[in-house]
Amino acid sequence: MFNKIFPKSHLLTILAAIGSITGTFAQNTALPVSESDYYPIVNLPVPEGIVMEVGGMVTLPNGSLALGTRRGEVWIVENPDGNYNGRPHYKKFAGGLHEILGMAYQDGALLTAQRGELTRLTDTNMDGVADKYETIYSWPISGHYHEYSYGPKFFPDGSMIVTGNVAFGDQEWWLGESRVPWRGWAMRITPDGKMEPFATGMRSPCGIGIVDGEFFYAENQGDWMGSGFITHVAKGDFVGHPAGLRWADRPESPVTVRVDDIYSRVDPRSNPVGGPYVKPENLPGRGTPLFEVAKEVKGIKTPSVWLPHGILGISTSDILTIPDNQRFGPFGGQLLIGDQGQSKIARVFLEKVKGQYQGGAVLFREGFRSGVLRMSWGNDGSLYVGQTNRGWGSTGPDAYGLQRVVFTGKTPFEIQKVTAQPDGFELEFTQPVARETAEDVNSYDITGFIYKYHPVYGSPVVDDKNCAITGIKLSADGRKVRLLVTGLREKYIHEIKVPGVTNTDGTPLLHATAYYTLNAIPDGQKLTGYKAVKATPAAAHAGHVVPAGTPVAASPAAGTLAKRTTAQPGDWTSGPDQSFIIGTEPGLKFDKKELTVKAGSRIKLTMTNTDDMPHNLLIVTSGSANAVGDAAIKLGLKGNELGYVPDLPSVLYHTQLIQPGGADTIYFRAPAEPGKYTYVCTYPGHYFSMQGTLNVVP
Amino acid sequence: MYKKPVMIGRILPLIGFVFLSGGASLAQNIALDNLQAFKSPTSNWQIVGNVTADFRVKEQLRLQPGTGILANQPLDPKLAKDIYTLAEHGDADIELEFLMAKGSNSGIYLQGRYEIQLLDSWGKASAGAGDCGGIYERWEESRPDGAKGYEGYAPRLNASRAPGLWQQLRISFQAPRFDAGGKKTENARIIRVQLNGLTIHENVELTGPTRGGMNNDEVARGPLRFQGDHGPVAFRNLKIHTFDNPKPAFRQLTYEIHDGRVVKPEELASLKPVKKGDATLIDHSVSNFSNNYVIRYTGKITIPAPGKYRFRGIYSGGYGQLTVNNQTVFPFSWSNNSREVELPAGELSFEYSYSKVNEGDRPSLGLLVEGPGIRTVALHEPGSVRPSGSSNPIYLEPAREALIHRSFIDFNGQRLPYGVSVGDPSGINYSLNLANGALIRTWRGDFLNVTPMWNDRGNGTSVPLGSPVDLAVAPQITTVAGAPAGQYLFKGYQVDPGNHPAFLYEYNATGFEDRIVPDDEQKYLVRTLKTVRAGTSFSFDLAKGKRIETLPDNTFLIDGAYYIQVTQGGSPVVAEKDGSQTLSIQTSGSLSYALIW
Repeated sequence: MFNKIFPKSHLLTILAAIGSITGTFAQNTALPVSESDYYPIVNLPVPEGIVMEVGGMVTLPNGSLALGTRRGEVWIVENPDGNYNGRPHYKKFAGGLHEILGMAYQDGALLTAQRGELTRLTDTNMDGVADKYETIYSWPISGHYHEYSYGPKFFPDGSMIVTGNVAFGDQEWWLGESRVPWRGWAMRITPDGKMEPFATGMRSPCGIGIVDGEFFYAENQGDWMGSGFITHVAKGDFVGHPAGLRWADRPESPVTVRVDDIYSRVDPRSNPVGGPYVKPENLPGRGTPLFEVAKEVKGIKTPSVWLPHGILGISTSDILTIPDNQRFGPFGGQLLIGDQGQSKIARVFLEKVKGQYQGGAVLFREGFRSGVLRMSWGNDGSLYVGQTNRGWGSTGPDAYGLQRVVFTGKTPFEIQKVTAQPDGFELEFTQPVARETAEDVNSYDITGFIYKYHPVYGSPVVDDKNCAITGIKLSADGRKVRLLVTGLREKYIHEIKVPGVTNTDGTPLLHATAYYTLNAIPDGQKLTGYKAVKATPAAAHAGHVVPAGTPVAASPAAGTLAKRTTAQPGDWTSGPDQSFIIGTEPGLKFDKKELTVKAGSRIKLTMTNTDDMPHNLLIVTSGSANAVGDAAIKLGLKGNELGYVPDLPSVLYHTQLIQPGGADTIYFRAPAEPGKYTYVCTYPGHYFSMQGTLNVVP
Repeated sequence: MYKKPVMIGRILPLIGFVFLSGGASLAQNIALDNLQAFKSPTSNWQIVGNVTADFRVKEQLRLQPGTGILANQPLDPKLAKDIYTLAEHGDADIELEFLMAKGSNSGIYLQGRYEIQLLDSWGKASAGAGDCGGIYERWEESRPDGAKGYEGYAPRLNASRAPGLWQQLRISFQAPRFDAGGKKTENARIIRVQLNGLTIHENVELTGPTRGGMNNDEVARGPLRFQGDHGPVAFRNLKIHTFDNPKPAFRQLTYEIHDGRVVKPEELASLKPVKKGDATLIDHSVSNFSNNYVIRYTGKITIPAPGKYRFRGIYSGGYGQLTVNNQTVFPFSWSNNSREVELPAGELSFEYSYSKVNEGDRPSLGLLVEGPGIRTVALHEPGSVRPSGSSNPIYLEPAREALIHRSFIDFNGQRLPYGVSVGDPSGINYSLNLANGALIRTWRGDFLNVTPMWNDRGNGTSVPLGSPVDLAVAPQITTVAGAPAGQYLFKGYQVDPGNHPAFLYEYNATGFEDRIVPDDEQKYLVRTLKTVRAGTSFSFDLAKGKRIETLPDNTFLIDGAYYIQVTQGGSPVVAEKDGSQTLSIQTSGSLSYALIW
């Protein structure tokens, strides 16, 4: 819309990156492939002047698309795919609603959650414009900016689910709180306006879906939420954030967990110490993960599928089931999970083991123009993606967008799904695999890990241990590989990397890593007739990087400073030549876009993070910021621990990863070579917009 | 005037001070007990106790004896002259209230020379320089016909109220400056004009007297002048704040920086500074620390005259403590503060400490002072206080049809989470509290500023762009079918082809339909309330106020601020309770009334 060049260049970056991965692992010279070879993204033209910050989207029976926006408008898009040489046509159906964050269709009416109510919009005189705005149910809301409400989605019985965000504290501005009943809850509402509180523990439940008649929701990392995930939610469940428990003892509440059940096991650390409240920071150690609390407290539901933070997203936003046919490729029946901050979609395959949902997630598609917020299937079988970053910034640089993903009919070589086995995993692929790659133990790498459960925003990866693969068995049709694995841990996320397996043409996987949440290990037959294997130790692991979180004190002698020097070097007897404080601005920006320093001068730089998500600051050579940002994302699970600082010569200096409300000060010598350098935040999703220029002058 | 700092979310701690005046200045309340404050007044001017006018009756003021109001009744236009204060002013803030008869015309002349026009401009879609609140044009006979008038400035919009209502005017004026030889070195300047709370001019330089000025010269001091020859008008609550004193300034100001976290006042006493220096103004950037440090300024401050001084401290993300003349102005306290103290004249001791302890906030340190005859002075470097954001504002205006806009609404210090505002293409707007059906606010002119809700992450609130009349937030339906109104349930609304909503709600399971639209002349609002089941009786509070006056034709004047005229549903009654009055009506099935302002 207002930037047609940026998305293209972003796509090129992705292509280049994928090319480099394939170059590392592919055994032969098959041409590199990209997501767009199979699932291209097509822009929908939107008339200038419509601020299409999509918050709700549904496909109508006639093939038109109904879009609800943050600005409270509802647009009907006729012929959205532009077929018959036509163009999508936009007509305003309704307006003035208080932030639409969900849209559903039933019996000729559109249903939508506003901030404070569930509304039914009807066009009674069939002039294409709503004339009846009917309040189905109005729920309590205090008026805090973060109290968003989402939905509805229909249960099979016609009742609806809506969910609500928590507010934040006034002094404890990082702390989610439920100021009025049923904030941080899911509510079930009948079409005639009867509400029953359904479940709580939600912090930011933007993504909700009904899968096989069951309610699932998607969460973002935040306080008490170590990473994003999706989970099945049954009536009465508590899913992790304690704020909503404030109302759990009300007679109408089905939730049995109480605040004390949580706070007696995990210290909320919300006491003011000597004056103002102190935001809790990460403590060493693994703490008590949620599943351990759940072992002791009945009524806690742990995630069905974790979506590792920074890898499969940073702000999960929507859940959509792929129709159980081949129209959109080989993944019918699986789920797509949108992500706002990273402008991408992940794919999830679920199974039920010992009565619990679990499963794995793989990246599906990246490169959308703004934050992926809502998805809907068009009548032509393509996937419509309504987008906005809604003031938070996103990898896709636009403020909003409307695009669709089209299946070319060509099947990508992908991990079709992973299933848990009594003694390992079975990997199913979309195409037969090359036997020599599939039976090579060095084609795989499996690591189990978990996130912390604490009042801190997000979590590092903790308790990570590599699992040994001791046997491999390829199915007769060449599409399934059974791995015999030791060291599996229930409730842990298992990163399953498959860098070495190719199809019979020698093409590597389009997305070679799956994250499987192993809630339960199934009973059953153990694997027999497999090929026993043993990994060669060096092959499976990437080279190590010095953890960026470890500060390096200055050596007293003069010389080269470490990339992160946190104490003033001893030989700076007259102090730094220049000191700077750089802060953050909302929308992924540094508050200073340019700093000017003298070549070789002594610089003290303090980065303060006044935003509500983590940031860092890396000083990099000219033109390398995007490559460094991309490399930071590729650090994968280690990213958080390494502060998202890749070990590259183009990274000259850097801060540590700074949590919201935190600060970090580094000392460095400005480059000796005058010129323009860049400072960039490489926290996943940020590097496109969060950059500034360091002018080094003679 | 001081407005609370605006905060958008927590993320942007904006310090947006807006000052109209110097507050605790040398306020001259022009006593309207008699005409002694004025130069030889002509007989059209008199002091009265009460004034009423009917918005429907031309050029008529009804006067009642008493004091407190300066009224102009120009019975013989030839004899009617303007009136001048004996007091003369230079830099000054003028506050007053005025009331126009229908069709009347008057004006306020600053220094007797620069006119802010007063006119019955009620209901005009656009306002020019000759309309109420306009800066009247200059005039030059030697210019060609049609161009003799020049440099008149229209108000930003028409903020006028109906005739017979008291309107509020605040003018912040800076006199022209002259050198020792009497040569003008700086033009006179309108710093700000607010009509009925709405800013209609800001920072307008005036090159010379406007048409009809008492003299064509310009002076350092002149009288305030009220126009009396063009129609009936009344004034009350007249205040002239003059700013003639020199500004407070520092002497021998020094600073000390302490490295460490200080959260208790007693710890301030034992600081070990790591850096010291001299300063001319306060500036947080003397510290290189990012957090957990203290800056302490000590020195002298010259106070030009004895009296009340108001200090406003800005110290974000930490504690501040201010003592002047060994008096505590701010005790060791969190974040910002504002206090008034009595000070003698002279060089007084000064100490100001800032303990920055919250990492999440960026440093911001400032101190402002105002006092007798002193317009607000910043005692800090401009860069020491974080400026407010400068994002593009987002405004909402109806085009071909009415706009309905749901949002949170901040009203009387309360956040109403179920608000709706409706803007009509005619510029007649209102807000309703959907949590109880109360009509809370009406205004005319531009519709809504939605920047707070749509810019960046937003806080969900919208703000009227016009000059609102704030009504009451309490439920208006009090009984239904003879019983207390009981449980309220909002059911939604239905819109007509012009997108005007008819709101639907229930009290005790009795359905109501509530429709509020501009009148045919598009000057005011007409509200029609019906029970869905015809004939159900209900009682309804039309208005609450300190003083409700009864006018002809079922018309009532509420606190001189707006009129209610009941056109269907019976006759309302005024009841007195606890020192306030309520206008209520008992009706059956339907009620219709006009709200006129």
